[in-house]
Amino acid sequence: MRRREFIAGLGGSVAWPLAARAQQGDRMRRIGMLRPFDENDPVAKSQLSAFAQALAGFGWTDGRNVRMDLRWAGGDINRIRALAQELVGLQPDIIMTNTTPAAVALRRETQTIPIVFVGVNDPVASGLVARLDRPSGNITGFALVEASLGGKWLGLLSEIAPGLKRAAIMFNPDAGTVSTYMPSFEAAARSLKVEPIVAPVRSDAEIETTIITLGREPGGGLVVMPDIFTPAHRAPIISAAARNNLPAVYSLSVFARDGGLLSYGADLVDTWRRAVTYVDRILRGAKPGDLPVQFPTKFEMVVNLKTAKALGLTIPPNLLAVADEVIE
Amino acid sequence: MNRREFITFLGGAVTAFPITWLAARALQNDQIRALQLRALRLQAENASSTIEQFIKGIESQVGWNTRLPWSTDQRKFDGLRTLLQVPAITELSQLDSDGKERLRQSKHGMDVPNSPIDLSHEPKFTEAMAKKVYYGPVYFRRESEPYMTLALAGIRRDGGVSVAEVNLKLIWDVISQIKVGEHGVAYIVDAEGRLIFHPDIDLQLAQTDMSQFPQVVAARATPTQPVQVVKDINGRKLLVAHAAVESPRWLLFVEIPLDEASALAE
Repeated sequence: MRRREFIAGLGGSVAWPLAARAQQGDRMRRIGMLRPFDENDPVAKSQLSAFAQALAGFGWTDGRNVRMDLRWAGGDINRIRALAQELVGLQPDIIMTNTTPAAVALRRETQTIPIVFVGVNDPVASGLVARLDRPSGNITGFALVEASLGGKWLGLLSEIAPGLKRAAIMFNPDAGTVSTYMPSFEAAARSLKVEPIVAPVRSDAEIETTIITLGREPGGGLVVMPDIFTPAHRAPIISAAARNNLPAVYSLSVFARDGGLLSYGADLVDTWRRAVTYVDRILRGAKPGDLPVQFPTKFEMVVNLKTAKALGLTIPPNLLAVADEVIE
Repeated sequence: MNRREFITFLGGAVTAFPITWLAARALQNDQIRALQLRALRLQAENASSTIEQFIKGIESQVGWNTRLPWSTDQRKFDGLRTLLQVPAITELSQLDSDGKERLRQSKHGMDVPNSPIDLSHEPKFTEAMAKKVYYGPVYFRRESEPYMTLALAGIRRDGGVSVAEVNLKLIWDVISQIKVGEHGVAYIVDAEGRLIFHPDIDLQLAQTDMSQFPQVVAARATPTQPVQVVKDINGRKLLVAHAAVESPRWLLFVEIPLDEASALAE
């Protein structure tokens, strides 16, 4: 670095937070993006635009000094694997992705290209990183694992569904995330005197059967896990819950926006925004293995009042007052 | 005649002498060094004010919870609101004026009302009751995320104490994004002289005792002298600026090896 750059660098970075720090006149950097879901999914779209906006805030503009190569897998595991291979073949400077299967597929394809993930339930258990503080490979990112969330979801369910007697925890057994949340779910069930029911589902038909069984007698409720299966099958889950009068709590806000009763979980758009701090640092030479895995700090609650009304439920005013979004 | 005028005079009067060139160059180097010192100091001060604002912000958000005398419903509502609105606050406990935990709320877990926990002899209760605010030592969750306990007593005694577990990774971001030359670095030591924030996560986790390091000793001895040259433990000279983070009584340092700063000035 020349003297002029040193002083310019000092001067520029004095005004923290930095608006635009990316080096100008550098070669074009390439960011590969493996998106597990569908291109037209509104959630994926808002995450992507939050990401691009935050990236521009660090001085990286698509088409000027970075180029994004996007691949959409439409929720198909086999396609995720093929696209991971294709993206690695492009030899980008960094690859961004979300969900456990997509991160695992990328990690299998490359031990050198830096990977930043978001929305991975448990990066240690899924073998992505050895340690959270020092991931030590070519991969780091933003995890979701807060094992106690299983209890939080059930606690919220009991607040909005008075007379709760049985609660099912719905998940896809192939996604392998339920074990993280199970202990706290069961502990909460004990303290709330609610019967916990394990409800693995692999298809729309199994979703339907599970929800019909639960709704047969009053006092039933549902908690839906975050994994790669449930958001892709949210339409049948939400509609079956409505038809069978079953109060349900979800971990992702998209469920409540699409007609689910209540969602509580990490704000994923915020996480995508935060992930940009790591992308920026890696593009400037930091090693992913030196950057600790981070956890979500911003949580959001969305309440669907229309659904509550249809179920004949009164949402406690305290919950309504603090909800980030109320759908009427 | 000040130095600049003198140089100008020299320049005008004895153009033919090479001394002109040398003097001008020396002046330029002086100016560059002065700029470097200023920039270092500004960086330290800016980062420390960002961090102070962050902590003050958290304090005012936590403070809302103890404004009114005890009412379970009110506290539950305020607590939930705080957790949803303040990303950095992960957990919140409400203690009554006897130091009993009446309600514990978390972003990730179920509410725990009236736990049998008695905190009446813990510093987070006693110090907060005595001094209104208590800042705990920095600790790490899951070996990766820095946290601090922040406890605030109500304005009235019957308001009890609110105890927040505060995620401090924003401070790590601030520290890690400071760039000074090639080998410059910014870091923070706490009131006991322990290293609590450093871009290198291993050093940060080790919480090295730096209380006897020359830059820490010098900063404590002469707080008004914001930039100093000190020798580090390996005998290497450093150009160091510091700024105080007043509330938790931390010291923030920005430093660069002197030879690198000098090479850049050449």
